[in-house]
Amino acid sequence: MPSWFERIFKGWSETYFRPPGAQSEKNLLATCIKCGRCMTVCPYQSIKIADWGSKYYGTPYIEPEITPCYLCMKCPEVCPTGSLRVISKENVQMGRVQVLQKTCLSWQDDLCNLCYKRCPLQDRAIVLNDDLKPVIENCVGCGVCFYVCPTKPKSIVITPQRNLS
Amino acid sequence: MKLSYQHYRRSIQFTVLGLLIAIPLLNLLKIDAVQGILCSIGTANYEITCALGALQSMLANREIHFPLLLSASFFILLAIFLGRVFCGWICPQGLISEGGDKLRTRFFKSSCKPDSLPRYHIGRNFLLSLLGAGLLATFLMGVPIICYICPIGIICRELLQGTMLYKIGGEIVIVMIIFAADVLVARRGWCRYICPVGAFYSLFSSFAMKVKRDKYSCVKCGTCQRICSMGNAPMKDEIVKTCINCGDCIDKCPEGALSFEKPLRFRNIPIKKVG
Repeated sequence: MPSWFERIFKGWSETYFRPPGAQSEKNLLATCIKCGRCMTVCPYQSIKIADWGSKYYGTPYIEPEITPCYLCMKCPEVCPTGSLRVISKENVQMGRVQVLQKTCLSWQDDLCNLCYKRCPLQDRAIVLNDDLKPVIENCVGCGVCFYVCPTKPKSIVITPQRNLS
Repeated sequence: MKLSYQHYRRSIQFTVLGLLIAIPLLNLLKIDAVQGILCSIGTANYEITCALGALQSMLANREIHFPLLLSASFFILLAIFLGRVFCGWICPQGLISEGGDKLRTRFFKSSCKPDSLPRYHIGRNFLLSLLGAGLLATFLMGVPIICYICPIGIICRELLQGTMLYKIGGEIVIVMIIFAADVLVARRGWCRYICPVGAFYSLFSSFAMKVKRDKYSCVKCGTCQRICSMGNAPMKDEIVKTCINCGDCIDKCPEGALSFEKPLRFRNIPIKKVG
């Protein structure tokens, strides 16, 4: 393969949060025909379409700091190409989440726990330990906890990551 | 008043354009039973997908996705039975190009001649090699290359984003360039010599409905070949695969010598000169 080709297309780095059910970055960019149906069907308008000028053009992404994904799972049903696969919301993989215990209000003995209350997968993704502090367990990375976190800067760190075959 | 093909065609074209704005508006009001643009439109169970997009998606992923084959077959069947009606009756870029064609006909009257057959073959080979190169690049690079520059998708996506998110992206420049080139460089140049979508549908149109000339009532006035924006000459029976079945020549023929022939007549494509 030519070198310019490698330079442009080698690293399929995950710079975006993709909608739930998205395939691996390489397969998503291959199959997505940029029809935008996931965007139109999204009831929260979480899904946006990437701008022109890169290989990501036209593909759907989510910005959790503006509008997170609430895991309603409407978008995989309308995807015509199978870029978003129909799966249950427990099996979604969008990102990885970490609680920063130094700034988290709950860990500072304040009864915030907003992330726990708002989590779409309550008691599965975020659980409360014996001291009523939020702990991340089987998180799918939808970003709601990141969105509702009241501290500035946010006490939750979220990075896009998908571990798909 | 007798309704001509152009009346039907314009109403369908503007209905499609209106739907491209109305469907996102309905989606904004949380009525999302139907959603989508011309790349893919439908409900959750029944959908119509752009056949070239579907082919690219499967080529790039190197895997056959069965629902995609089904949803892509609508436009293919349309092309098999009715020819390139997608270009003439549905495509929003076709509507814009027709506007450019009107402007061009007004400004450069002398340059509106039909293609001669050798010129048509050169253009046709160029068109098909562009399509082939695009599909090969799609297969090798693993991304649907043609979708990145397809003006039909760009227009639909801009209407969608403009309605739902109130923003217009920079890619609309491609549509403007095509419009300017249609006015200044070649008559409907994009549709005739470059557009991969039209080229793809024309591959299936061999036995489709096409314009037929009644040679006893034809008086060879040459109106049809002046009017044809795709460079065909119905007067010489040179109706080739650039024909988009728009019906303009049928409307404008003063003797009524032209008509649509039914699809699936198994015969050779008339690339021979008669008379």
